[in-house]
Parts: sequence; C-alpha cells; structure tokens
Amino acid sequence: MTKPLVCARIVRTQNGAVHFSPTLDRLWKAASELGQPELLLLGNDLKLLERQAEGISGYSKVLIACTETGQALQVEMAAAVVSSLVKEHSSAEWSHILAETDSFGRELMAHLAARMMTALVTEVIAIEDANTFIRPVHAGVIQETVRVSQRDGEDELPVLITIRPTGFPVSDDLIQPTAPDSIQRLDTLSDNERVRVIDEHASPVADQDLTSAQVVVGIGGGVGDKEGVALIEQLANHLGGAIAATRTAVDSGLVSNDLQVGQTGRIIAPKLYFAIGISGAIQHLAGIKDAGAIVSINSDPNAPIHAAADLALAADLRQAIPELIAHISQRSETVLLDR
Amino acid sequence: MAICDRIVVPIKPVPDPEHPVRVSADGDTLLLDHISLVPNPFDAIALEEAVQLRESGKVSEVVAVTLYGDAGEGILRTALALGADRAIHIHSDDPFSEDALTIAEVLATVVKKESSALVLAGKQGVDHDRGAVPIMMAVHLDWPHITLASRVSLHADGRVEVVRDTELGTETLALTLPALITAELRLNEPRYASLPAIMKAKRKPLERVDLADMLPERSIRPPRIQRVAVRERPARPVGERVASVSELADRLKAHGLGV
Ligand SMILES: Cc1cc2nc3c(=O)[nH]c(=O)nc-3n(C[C@H](O)[C@H](O)[C@H](O)COP(=O)(O)OP(=O)(O)OC[C@H]3O[C@@H](n4cnc5c(N)ncnc54)[C@H](O)[C@@H]3O)c2cc1C
Ligand SMILES: Nc1ncnc2c1ncn2[C@@H]1O[C@H](COP(=O)(O)O)[C@@H](O)[C@H]1O
Repeated sequence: MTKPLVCARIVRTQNGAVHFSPTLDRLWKAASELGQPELLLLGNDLKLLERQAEGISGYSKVLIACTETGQALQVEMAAAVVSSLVKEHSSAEWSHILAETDSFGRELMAHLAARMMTALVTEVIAIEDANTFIRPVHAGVIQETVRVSQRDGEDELPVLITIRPTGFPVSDDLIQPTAPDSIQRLDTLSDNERVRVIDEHASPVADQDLTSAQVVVGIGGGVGDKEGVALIEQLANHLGGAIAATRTAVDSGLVSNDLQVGQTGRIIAPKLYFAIGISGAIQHLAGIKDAGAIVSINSDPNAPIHAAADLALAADLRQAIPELIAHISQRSETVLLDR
Repeated sequence: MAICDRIVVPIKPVPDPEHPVRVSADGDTLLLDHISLVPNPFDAIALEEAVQLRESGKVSEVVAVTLYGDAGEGILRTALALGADRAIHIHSDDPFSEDALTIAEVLATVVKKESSALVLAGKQGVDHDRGAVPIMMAVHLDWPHITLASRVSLHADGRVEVVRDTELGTETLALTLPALITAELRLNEPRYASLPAIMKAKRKPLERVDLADMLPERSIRPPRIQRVAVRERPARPVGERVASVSELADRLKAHGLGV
C-alpha cells in the first residue's frame, strides 16, 4: 500500500494570533484515497505543534518540525526538512507528498519539485488513482485529468500534490477519533538567512474558517463604504456566516486581502453564498462555482452575477439587506440550515 | 548609478481570460484557436514594476522572455510596447506546457546568460493557475525568492524590501540581490500601450532563439505530467429571478435553505 505524507503549517504570528490549517481533515480525506496518511506539522511554536499533534485524528504518525521559538516559518526551511526526510528514508517511504493549495503549500511544493526534480500537480480536486488527478483550469471552466509519470531508471520519487480543500469535504464521523501511534520530533528547522522577516500584521479575520463555512456573504464593490460593510457584517452575524469579498472590495480598502475569493484568492464551497453588490466577473465566479446555492443582490438587473445565481434579486442593497435581516430575525425561531 | 543592471521578466502567453474556453465536440481537446493570446495579467504587472524601476534609474534594462511557439513573438511585441527594452523569444513547438520543471530550467538558463540579478515574474498563470515556474526558477538559480509581492522597494545597497499578502495577513520581508520576486494583483496598475509606444516597439530588439540551439547538450525529457482528458465543468442549473426580499426569503425556504 502506498503511503502519502501531508505537510501542514501551524504557526503563531508575532502579534500573538495562532493560525492552524482548518483543513487538516480535508487533506487527510484526500491523502487517505492514496494510502495510510502520515502528517508533518511545521511551525514556530513547539508547544502549539505538540498540542495539535496529540489531538489529531486519522493520521497514524505525526512528525513535528519547528523553528527556534517565535521565528517565522519560511518555505526554504520547510523544503529543506522535507527533502532531507525523503532522502533519509528509503526512497519508497512516501508515495506522495501533499499540501493545501494556499500560498505556503503552493510555494513549498514547487520548491520541492525543483529540488527533487519530481512531478508536481497543483490544485487537485479529485483523485482517480495513484498517478491520475483532476484539476480545474481556465478559471474553473474546464476540468482536466492529468497523469504523472516519474523518471525511468531512477528511484521512485514521491509525487507532489497540492489539494484544493473544497474537493474533499468530510463529515464529522468519517475520521476515526484515534490518536496517532507515534509523534516524532524532528531537528529544529535551520534558519533561512536569505529572507528576513521585518514586520508582520496578522489579518484581523484570518481566524474565521472561510473554507468550511456553510454560509458565506460576499462583499462587492457595490457595498461602497464602511457603513455598507457594517450592514453586511450584521447580515452575516444573523446567518451565522463568514465574510468574503471581491478584488474590488479589497482594493478599495473595504476589507482585508485575505478575504478575497476567486481565481487568485480563496476557493470556497458553502451551502449558501450571498453575492452582494458583486458584478459577477469570471475571476470571482471561479471561486464560488461549487457553492450549493448562490443568491445575488445587485441593483443592476443586467449584472452577470444574476445569470450565475440560483436566486437573483435586482435591488439596492441598502434597502434589501436591512429588509432581509428583518425577515431573518422575525423568523429566528427556525434555525437556518442544519448546522 | 543603477543598482541593478538588468531585470528579467518572464512573460507567459495565455488565452484572453475574458473569453471562456470550450472543449471540442468529441470531448478530446480544448478549443483555443479562436481566442487571442495576451500576456498573463500578472506578468504585465511584473513588467510594469520593472519598467517603473528602470524609469526611476534604479535599473538599466528590462528584458522580457517568453518560451512559446510562433505566437510568442506577438506577446513580446506587446511587452516591448509596454516598456521592455529588449525581448528574447525562446521558440519551441514542444507541447510541454504542462511541465513546469522544464520551463523553469530553460528560463533559469536565460537569466544566467543575461547575468541578471533580479527576476520579476507573475504569481501564477491565469490559464492553469499553477504558480510554480518562478519558484522552480529560483531553486535552479539557487536564489532566494519572495512570492505575492504587493510592494517592492529596491535600495541602493542591493537590499530589496517586499510587502506580501497571504492568507494570514501582510508581512514585510527583506533580501539582498540576486532575487526572484512574484507579483500580486495589488502591486501596481499596468499602463496601456500608447500608439507611439507600439510604433517604437517595432524597432526594439527581439531576439529569437531556438530551444534546441540554446541548450544543445540537452535532450528534452518527456514531460512528467500529461493531460489525458478535458471536460467542461458541468454548468450550474439556470436560476430564477425574484422580485422582492420576501419572495427571496420564501424561495430560500422552499430550497430548504430557509429563514
Ligand atoms: C488576473 C486577475 C485576477 C483576478 N482575480 C480576482 C479574484 O480572485 N477575485 C475577484 O473577486 N476578482 C478578481 N479579479 C477582478 C475581477 O476581474 C473583477 O474586477 C472584480 O471581481 C469585480 O468586483 P466587484 O464585482 O465587486 O466590483 P464591480 O465590478 O465594480 O461591481 C460592483 C457591482 O455592484 C453593483 N452595485 C453598485 N451599487 C449597488 C447597490 N447600492 N446595491 C446593489 N448593487 C450595487 C453594481 O451594479 C455592480 O454590478 C481579477 C482580475 C484579474 C485581471
Ligand atoms: N512559457 C513561459 N514563458 C515565460 N514565462 C513563463 C512561462 N511559463 C510560466 N512563466 C512565468 O511563470 C509564472 C507562473 O507560471 P505558472 O507556473 O505557469 O502558473 C508566469 O506568470 C510567468 O512569469
């Protein structure tokens, strides 16, 4: 049986906020289609990593690699540790190495691929077999199936994969609540002197779990100003949902960059997505195509978002949103979605 | 005096993202011929940054590089019209577009040959959203790299400060040349090519190199990744229009999403 290794980061940022990958279970789901997954946790706070490792389910073995406490975790350090792990172990130890398709995972896997000269498949949404994967291209309009073949006449090298978490939803009962058989601490990650961190600002909302939120309210350029944003936040609160945004909303300073959804931001798949004051550009739609239902509220009846929506309302958001909030709180005795 | 002699900007030709790509009736191939190629939007941003650095006198020359078939030339003319000083078209009809490793190896060779100390690339191609080639180039060159730059400051002592945006927030990083940096949407707003710039671009040097001549010792390895099937993503069912908020609430409820 093949054995995949999942790489994930769990870091504490300078201003004290803790960030861990909320998608460890989805990565497990993907990896378990390939074999019995093992996990490598990378970070900059050993206690945090150890606590996370003990509470983990599904992975038989957890490896931990940490920087000297507090020091930022960087891709070059992580790549060095993974490639030396692969070298140390017999070449057939891991059949695949997986990470999330986020900024860290993308960079780590590309770095490793060049270091080890081995195949990389990015943004996988489905696994057909150990060498065959499905991934979206052209802003998600097309799905392609790719097959990897490693070099002949050399040791079998692991196939590198980045996973799009929305492709691998998990139900709570899927993962056996078993602690790992072994937790192993690796040597301290050696410092990367080439790139130095000068300053860090954790996003105020990076902790909200946008990837697995059931209801998401998207803020578009039409939301206009901070007052509009406050209105949307109120709606999201009533719906128990998370907030997302378009590029335009980010650019105009309405919300922080990490909330951007779309081709070049995050990909989400909530049960219900509200697109508010959003025109419906192809680059934004790329990030929400897997939503269960899309509701659009846009004053322009010809806005393309209405054609992409399951329920389309041509209305001024400044009237429609307070009305919608009133509707929801009126019927607050009924629970929205079986969350 | 310039801080850096030469910036190399790798430019990937991509189908104009405003035109949806379709799959042929037999379901085998992507229909791309009717869609014009454009420089990858993130590469246009990287190029703009490079041109601004040259205009400020910090850099002497901006060289645009493309690895592609015949159509690569038109893309490079556009790059020249957008301010690049010189262009290198590495011509190859080989269908290894899926093989980022090979592309990165070739581009890194050009960077070495040009003895450039700074590469500004796009954070990802909007065709395949891969974002791997620049990082692989940096590994080949053994250069430090920073991705997703939303601000780049080049200092006189060769230090580069970069603000980058990630899922965790914003961070400021610093490194010293040589370096590879990839551009995020927020870095700048690329200019449009003016008519005089387009005319001038026709006279700027555009060198064509055959891949085989550039790397004679190199036999192109078979790609490690091959596309075996394509399909259009199933379309979402057509939705319905509602006239009021209360109708919206009713329909949500009917869909089992009820308030
Ligand atoms: C390479 C590249 C990558 C990109 N990646 C992304 C990405 O990942 N994600 C992304 O979102 N964008 C991305 N973009 C940008 C994208 O092309 C669009 O520009 C952007 O999505 C538009 O955002 P918007 O719909 O909020 O703004 P706009 O297009 O300005 O639309 C605003 C809408 O609000 C409506 N409106 C105005 N006032 C009201 C009101 N009072 N009530 C109701 N409606 C109102 C208007 O009718 C309009 O339709 C990318 C662009 C490029 C070039
Ligand atoms: N064929 C190519 N020619 C020139 N530059 C390329 C090529 N392919 C990729 N690049 C560069 O690498 C970046 C990321 O590409 P990709 O890894 O294909 O998403 C692009 O934005 C370009 O800067």
